[in-house]
Amino acid sequence: MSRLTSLPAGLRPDVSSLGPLNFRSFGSWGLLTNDWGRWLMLDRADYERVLAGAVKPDEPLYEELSERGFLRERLDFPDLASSYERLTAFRRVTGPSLHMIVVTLRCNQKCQYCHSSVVDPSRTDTDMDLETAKTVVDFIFATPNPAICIEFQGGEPLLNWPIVKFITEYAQAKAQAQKRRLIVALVNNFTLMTDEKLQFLIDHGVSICTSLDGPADLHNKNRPFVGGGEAQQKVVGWLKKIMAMAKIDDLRKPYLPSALMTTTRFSLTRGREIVDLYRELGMDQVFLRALSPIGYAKRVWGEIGYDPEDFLRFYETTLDYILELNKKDPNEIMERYALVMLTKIVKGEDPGFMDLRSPAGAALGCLAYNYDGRIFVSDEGRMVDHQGDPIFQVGDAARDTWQDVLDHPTARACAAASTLETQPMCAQCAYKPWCGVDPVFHYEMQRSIAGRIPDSPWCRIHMGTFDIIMKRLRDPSSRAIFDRWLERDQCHWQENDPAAVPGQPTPEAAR
Amino acid sequence: MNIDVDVAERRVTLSAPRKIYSDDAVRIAAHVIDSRAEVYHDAGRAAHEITLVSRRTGLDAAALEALGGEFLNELLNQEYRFLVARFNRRIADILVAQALLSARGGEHPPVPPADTPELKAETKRLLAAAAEEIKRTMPRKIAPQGAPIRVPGEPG
Repeated sequence: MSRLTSLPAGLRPDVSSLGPLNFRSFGSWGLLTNDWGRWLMLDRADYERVLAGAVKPDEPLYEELSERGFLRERLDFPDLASSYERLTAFRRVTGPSLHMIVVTLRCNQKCQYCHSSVVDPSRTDTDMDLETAKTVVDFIFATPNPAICIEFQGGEPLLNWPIVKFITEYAQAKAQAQKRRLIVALVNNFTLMTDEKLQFLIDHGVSICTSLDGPADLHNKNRPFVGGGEAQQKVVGWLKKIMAMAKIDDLRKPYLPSALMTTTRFSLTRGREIVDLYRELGMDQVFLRALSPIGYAKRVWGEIGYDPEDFLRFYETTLDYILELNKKDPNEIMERYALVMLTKIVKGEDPGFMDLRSPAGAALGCLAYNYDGRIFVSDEGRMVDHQGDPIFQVGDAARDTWQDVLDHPTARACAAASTLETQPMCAQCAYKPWCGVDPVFHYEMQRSIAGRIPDSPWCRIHMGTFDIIMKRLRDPSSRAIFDRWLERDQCHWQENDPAAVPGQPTPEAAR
Repeated sequence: MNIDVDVAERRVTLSAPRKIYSDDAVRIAAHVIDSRAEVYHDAGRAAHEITLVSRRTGLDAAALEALGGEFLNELLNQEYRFLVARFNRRIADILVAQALLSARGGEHPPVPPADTPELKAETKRLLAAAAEEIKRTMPRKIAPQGAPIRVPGEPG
């Protein structure tokens, strides 16, 4: 069942001179990693010699092993500790920085895979009221993190527009009074956007994100309107309009809209078309996201879901297409998930991505607030509640303090269960320095917050994606493109938010 | 480890050696599979004797055998978790404690400053503006049971 690779056949390992490390074999070459986040790719012969303890001190490889913290007698602790601190900055972050507020469960779309467990547009009883909105913002500003990111989720947040406006303005007033850094982001389907609303969002520096699954037939199949109609055309129309506005106004550049796609079974053969649409719209990134069998998606998994291996084939061929484009033009589109992983692997920094943390970001890094003020460890945890299981509720904004939430047994259990050091397979995995597991996903899939990693789809997707990235890092031409992406991404965030620091989410990275 | 199935009784019986599998691993595996089967446990001298009764009706022999296999996989997973945790418990405890303590805001978490008079005035203004906009633009709330829900800015 294990997908961990074995030591080369016939090898007699001698690890007495080696520091703590994990390894992974790729046939003709091997990968060594350690908890400091340092790594080394080696031809098979050198890989075997390292594991057999046969590298001599006068060889250049010995020095390389030493520099990267693989030799027990030559560990430069201050240097390695500084790497480790940078990579795991999220463990020293003071409280959650990402706060997802569900201002309504109502939605005018009926997405096939809806994770968010939405209700009909007539169900105004699921709108957040003004009193609750104020209470939630007060709770958020009672948490200790100096940087706060508020993300409006739904349902479709624009259906409860006055509350979106109030929370934005009230949070900005509080941030100013308390001298805190605040990012506000709106995830919406653009179908209810108006010029007036857009102007408010731009004036208040709210970053805008939408869902765009691809060409019209694919998007409209995945995300139909309640009662029929063409959703994709509206999304594309608004994206074009905002991109055009940004072109003539430099001040608006930081608030360029971003889009996310979700991969269903219908997307698996459409990678190129999806990428081409994003390029046509002038988007600089596409995020190839796998579908999670959580919420409504779980019920229709047989119709729209797929095996992890199907997703990995889709991811690999689409990423290769993007890399080919980049070989011709250095300013071509980038892939967001690769960037998240590369930020960890190549830069040795934490990109603020909640899914790949140990312990997981659930409660420690992010919280989700339901329309009624109840608090959950994550938005996925809230969706489990909507299916009738409140296991991931850790508090109520009207009643509890941040200390109460953190002391909640569920918050603690999620932290303990998602620490990779105690997970079978993860503890030995070469990707441990950069990976993480999600307690909510595993509870939904395997009925246990710890999960069963050896046959977990989560692990199959993440290990497979790391493999794909690693293989391309081994290729000099892809590596050069990846390095350029990291440079471009760094410039992008410095431009948008000069105060951004490792360990804190950015609106895009956190999703 | 043999798995015996009784289709008519929706029952799977299996045994697992006690020298490999602890009582705790059996207990946790039973909790994990609880939504799919009732679990009965007899602690024999050499083996755990376990009976699963499927909560779903109409399962054939192959499906019942797969249920037994699921339980044994989970049992192995739990025992393996104990093993890994024994090796790494100290470092894992430190990591979790560090993350929880940091999230708390350290040993002496900062107390957020009280709202200034200016912020209080601004809050009042924003609340009034939002209440007015809700009243003007939003549909009246409906309650799931048909009872009216209080709308900010409107009497009772």
